[in-house]
Amino acid sequence: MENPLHEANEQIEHLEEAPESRLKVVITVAILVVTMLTTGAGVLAAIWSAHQSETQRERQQAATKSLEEGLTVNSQLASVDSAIDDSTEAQWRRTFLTVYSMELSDRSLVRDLKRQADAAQKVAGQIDARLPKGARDSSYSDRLNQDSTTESELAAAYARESAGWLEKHNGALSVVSMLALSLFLLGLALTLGNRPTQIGFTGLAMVMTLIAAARLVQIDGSTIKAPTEDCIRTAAQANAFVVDTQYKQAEGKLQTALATCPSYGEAWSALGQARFYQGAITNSPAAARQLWPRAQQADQHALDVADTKSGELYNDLAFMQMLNHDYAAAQANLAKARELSPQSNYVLGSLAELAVARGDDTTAERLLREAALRLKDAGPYLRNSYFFASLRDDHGYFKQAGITGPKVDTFFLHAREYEALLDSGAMSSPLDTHGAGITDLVFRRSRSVLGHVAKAVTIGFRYHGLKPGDVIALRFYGYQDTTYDTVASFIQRVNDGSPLLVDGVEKPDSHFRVTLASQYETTLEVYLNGILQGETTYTP
Amino acid sequence: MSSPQQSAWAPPPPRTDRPDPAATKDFHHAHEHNRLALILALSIAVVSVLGAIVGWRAETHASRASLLEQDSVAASIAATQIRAQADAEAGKADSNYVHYRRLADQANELSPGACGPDGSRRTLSDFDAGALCQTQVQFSGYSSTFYVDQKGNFEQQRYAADYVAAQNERDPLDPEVVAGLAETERHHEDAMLYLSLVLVLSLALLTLARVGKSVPARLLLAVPGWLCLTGSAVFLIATEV
Repeated sequence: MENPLHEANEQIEHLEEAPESRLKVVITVAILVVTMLTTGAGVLAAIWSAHQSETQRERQQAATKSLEEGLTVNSQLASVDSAIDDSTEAQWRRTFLTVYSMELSDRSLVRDLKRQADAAQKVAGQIDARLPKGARDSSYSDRLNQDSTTESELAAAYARESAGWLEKHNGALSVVSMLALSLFLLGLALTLGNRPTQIGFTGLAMVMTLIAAARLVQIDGSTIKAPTEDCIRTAAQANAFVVDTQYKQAEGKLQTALATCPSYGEAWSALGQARFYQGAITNSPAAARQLWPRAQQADQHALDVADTKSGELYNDLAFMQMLNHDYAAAQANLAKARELSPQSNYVLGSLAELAVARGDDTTAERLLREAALRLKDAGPYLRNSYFFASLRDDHGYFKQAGITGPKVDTFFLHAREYEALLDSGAMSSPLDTHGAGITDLVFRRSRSVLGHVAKAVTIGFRYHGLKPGDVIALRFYGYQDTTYDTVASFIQRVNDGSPLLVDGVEKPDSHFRVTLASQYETTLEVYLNGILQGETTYTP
Repeated sequence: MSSPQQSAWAPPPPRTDRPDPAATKDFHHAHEHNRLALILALSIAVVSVLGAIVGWRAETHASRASLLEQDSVAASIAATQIRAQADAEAGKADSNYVHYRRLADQANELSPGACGPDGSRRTLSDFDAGALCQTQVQFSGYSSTFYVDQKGNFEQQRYAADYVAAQNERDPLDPEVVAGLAETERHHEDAMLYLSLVLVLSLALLTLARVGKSVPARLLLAVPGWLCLTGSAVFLIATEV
């Protein structure tokens, strides 16, 4: 007789070999795998969350440091600016006292004036001795702000890195929730008696598990697009070279930074600028042909790597494409820039420039007029030192790029006239000279004592047909006709009692004697009611 | 050994064409039970897939929101820096204008009307005043009426605002706009999280319905489950497509 226990055991083994049992084994193994995977995803989520917290803390530290340094720099700049103004005041006072002492014949008065002048000179010397080295350089504040700028860039980079870690963390959590669902399906499949449903649930759970696993691998393998501290510090060194106009060295540093951090958008933009200015300062079309296409490439990279693409990035790329004669691409990118920055006069100016580069002067004039009208109520800084200064710069770049011709010259002339018109304020006949005119400009060193001592210049001109309400603007520009001299420039309104009425001649050294801000070539532009009457240059 | 007793042969029961009502009812009940079980199983599968999709959308929105929030932080830092530069420039302009005003005042103290067209120069004070007037011109760069109020004071804030406006002409990212976009993404993320709760409820109802013994009992739980599922699907499509 057979052992009944042995028989039962055989029956159990037979049952275990049945398809239902095999499926249960598969489900059990799948549950084990999914559980392990869920644990792994949970651990990764925790690690990434810790990284996120750490970078967030570093971001806060860098931001605080940047603000602290910014405040320190500002207070330092305020005291330096005030001291420079005091020194400038003492120097000019000395100059004018010296001029008077040379013009007078009364000996005791001359002696007193000279003593006063010497005292002023001493004061200026004492203040200058206290000033930090290079305090009078235009790049002094940029140099002083460098650390603060670097810290703020670090803060921005940490912010980006923190966002990257958070993205990974969120991704891991999403994987965990997907795995939880597949775990649920597998558990349900185990409790079911219906085989097709069991198979269906198991299959679906396996597919979801596979997707979740693949996603986890993808998240783990993804890189965070944030520059490292080394890259930022290298780019800061490049910026120091840019401040000193050493663009070639700046380019080298930026290339080093980008070799390590290829997704560092600001460095790509800076590289574009370094290459652009490297070509621009040579004033040579050959250098521009060589460097500007490379500047365009850098701008394209800057746009490509940017997470949030701004109108500024599209505009910068379009401008380089314009100078490289790729007008169709420039048009497309400027359309994007306009879409993203509809209020920007800067983009409007670029669109006008593109239109004139393509020979469409009607559109160019319309857009220029639109920008000028929008700038009507803007402040002088925005108009003179920013918008119209950019257009003046661009005229030079157009010439260098070979974008020339009467339409281009007329466009940039009209831009200058709008600049003068908006600065002149209210007038009886804007952009209309009613037959009046100013001719025979003279712009030279004054032959007076002031000219001798203070290098003052004088101007002269012939005028005709002037009537009350007319406005004459005498505007001086340094640095290749691009930088407006706010001190020397002035506006003369023609009134009933004005000496400049109807016809006449303003002789040099009779009324107008001014000192110029620039020690190099300076251009005098004369406008009547916003219409250019003539221009002439003077080199000390 | 005797053979087992055979029962006497009896004819089979007569066949009838009418089905047995009880058996038919059981058959229908079983059929419906199976069909409902299949539908429930499919519904659970759909809820699971939908749950995975909702989880993925929630993650996408959370990541976008976080990226935008960090962009907003970066833009805010940049804006603060521009503001600081604007204040520094405005301070510089103010210092210049303060000298401009002070020089005129000092000149007038030494010799009243010294800087006017009728200012005469005879004494040392007159010449001192004259030098101050001439020096004053060198500080006239910021004397534009645009930045000077009616009382003759330099408006630093106005100058700083003009400086900021010039920097903003290049239209850098506006921290507030970016923060607003991040907020929108966070709302979407919240919506997805609430949706996942509804889907969990639906999953619970459908699972419980599946273990129900009678069709009505199953339907009692399944119908709200399907309602949750349909509502979730509609909401997901409406918000995400």
